[in-house]
Amino acid sequence: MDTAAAEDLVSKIEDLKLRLSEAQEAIDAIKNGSVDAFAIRKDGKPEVFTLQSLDYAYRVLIEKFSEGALNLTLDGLIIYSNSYFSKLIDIPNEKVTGSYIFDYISGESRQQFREHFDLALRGCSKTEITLCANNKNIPVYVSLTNLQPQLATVGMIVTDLSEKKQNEQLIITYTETLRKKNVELEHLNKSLDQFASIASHDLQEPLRKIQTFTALLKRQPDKTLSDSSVELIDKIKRSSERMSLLINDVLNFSRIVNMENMFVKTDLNQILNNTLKDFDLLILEKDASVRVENLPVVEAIPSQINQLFYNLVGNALKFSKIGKPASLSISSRILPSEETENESNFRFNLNKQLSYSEICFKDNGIGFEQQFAEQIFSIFERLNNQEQYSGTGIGLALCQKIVQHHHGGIRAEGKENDGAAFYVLLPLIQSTKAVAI
Amino acid sequence: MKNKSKLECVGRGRIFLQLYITGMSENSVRAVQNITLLCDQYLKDRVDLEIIDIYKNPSVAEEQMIVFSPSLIRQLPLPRKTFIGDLSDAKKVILGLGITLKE
Repeated sequence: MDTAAAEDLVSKIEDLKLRLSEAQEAIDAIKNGSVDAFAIRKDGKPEVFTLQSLDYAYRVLIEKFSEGALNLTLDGLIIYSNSYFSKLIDIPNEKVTGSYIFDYISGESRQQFREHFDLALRGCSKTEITLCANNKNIPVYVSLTNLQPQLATVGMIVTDLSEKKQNEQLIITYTETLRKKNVELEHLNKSLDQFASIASHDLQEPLRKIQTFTALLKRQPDKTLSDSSVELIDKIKRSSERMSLLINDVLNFSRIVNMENMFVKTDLNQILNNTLKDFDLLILEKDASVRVENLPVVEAIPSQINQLFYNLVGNALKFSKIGKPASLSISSRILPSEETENESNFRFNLNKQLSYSEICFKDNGIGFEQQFAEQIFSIFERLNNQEQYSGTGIGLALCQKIVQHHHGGIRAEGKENDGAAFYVLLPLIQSTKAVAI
Repeated sequence: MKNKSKLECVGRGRIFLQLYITGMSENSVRAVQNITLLCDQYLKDRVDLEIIDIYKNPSVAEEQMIVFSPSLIRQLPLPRKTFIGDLSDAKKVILGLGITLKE
């Protein structure tokens, strides 16, 4: 009997040993990676469980994702968190999983988050909240998605807004600094213009005296002055005349900005006619032919446009070739929108919503080399010597300032010894939204 | 959950548990829920629980000789003990952990 019992035990042990070694082998096989799947009967139905799971790509992606990805139960228990989220709140992942999301939400955001969490239970919701962990506040954008009925959980994506908020703050600071600088600049500009205006006005006074006294000096009875003295007096007279011209131009230049923005509907034909009348004599003298096309009506400051046309026509006549009849043609066209776009992209600060008129002044004068096309608009810039062609060097700078004041643009095309063309762009209407240049 | 108030854990020593899971797989998710619930109910203030995703760090599984997921390991008190599965049978887990509950 004892032997039978002992035998029974031995065989039981043998049986257990066998089963243990089988189990051990199975485990070893799984460890070795030599098993692909289990086929198991579960609830009376055969099922296959693969070991190398198919969701590998999703898993790696969500792990490497530069946003926090969480899976929450309906109570807010974190059952999954990717590495990014634990790094964001600076708490080890082992502690994050199994804790509650509400623990990481700052006091002032908690109510809001709860509302959105409840909202998400009926679909999805998004909001900006502040996380709080390790005494650090982190502004984030959260997107919650209900995963029911497949899973009784809510998926949560967390986007870190710290950098964005920082940048926003920086932008606000920069904008404020810029605004202050702008006000400062405007102020400086104004005082500079005022200075130019006052200075040139005051400079005229002593100059007038020089002119009066040199005139008086010259009118002295004969022979009191030697011939060379008379020559010197003439030189003084010419120089003071030039200086007077210069001061006047500086004064005009400074007036452009100080003037109120009195834009009115202005018939450019009328202004051009007046300008041409002023040049009657010079036109005759130069035997010039002037061809004028119909010009548009634009919103402008008439006195300034007058000055603009005066300078451009004056230049065309002044820089005509010696001994050759001058010819000047003035034409206009409405700039097609694609050209407006082009011009505003590459050259001028135009408003793409507005229509622009392009007025062209083309002459057959001495022209200039195209490489100087921008330089000629600089103040006191002269390409030609003073002996042959008089002028102060302010004319074109003034033109540019007037055109810019009208929110338009001016450019020049020229060829050495073969004529020049000036293109003036003016908006037909002055938009209140026009960007000041 | 009716017996929550009646049952209480006997003993004072600290318990250190580690749950090894694999991402958001079904049983892992269930195991996380079950163990947190169990700890909250019976082992509050006595237990340190770490939940470790072996997808995030596969070498940890090897070090701890984890073959199956989810696996719950009682690291302390010694000896080390391992439980496999989603831990849905709380009584079995409590018994296995060597925790005595008193009415």
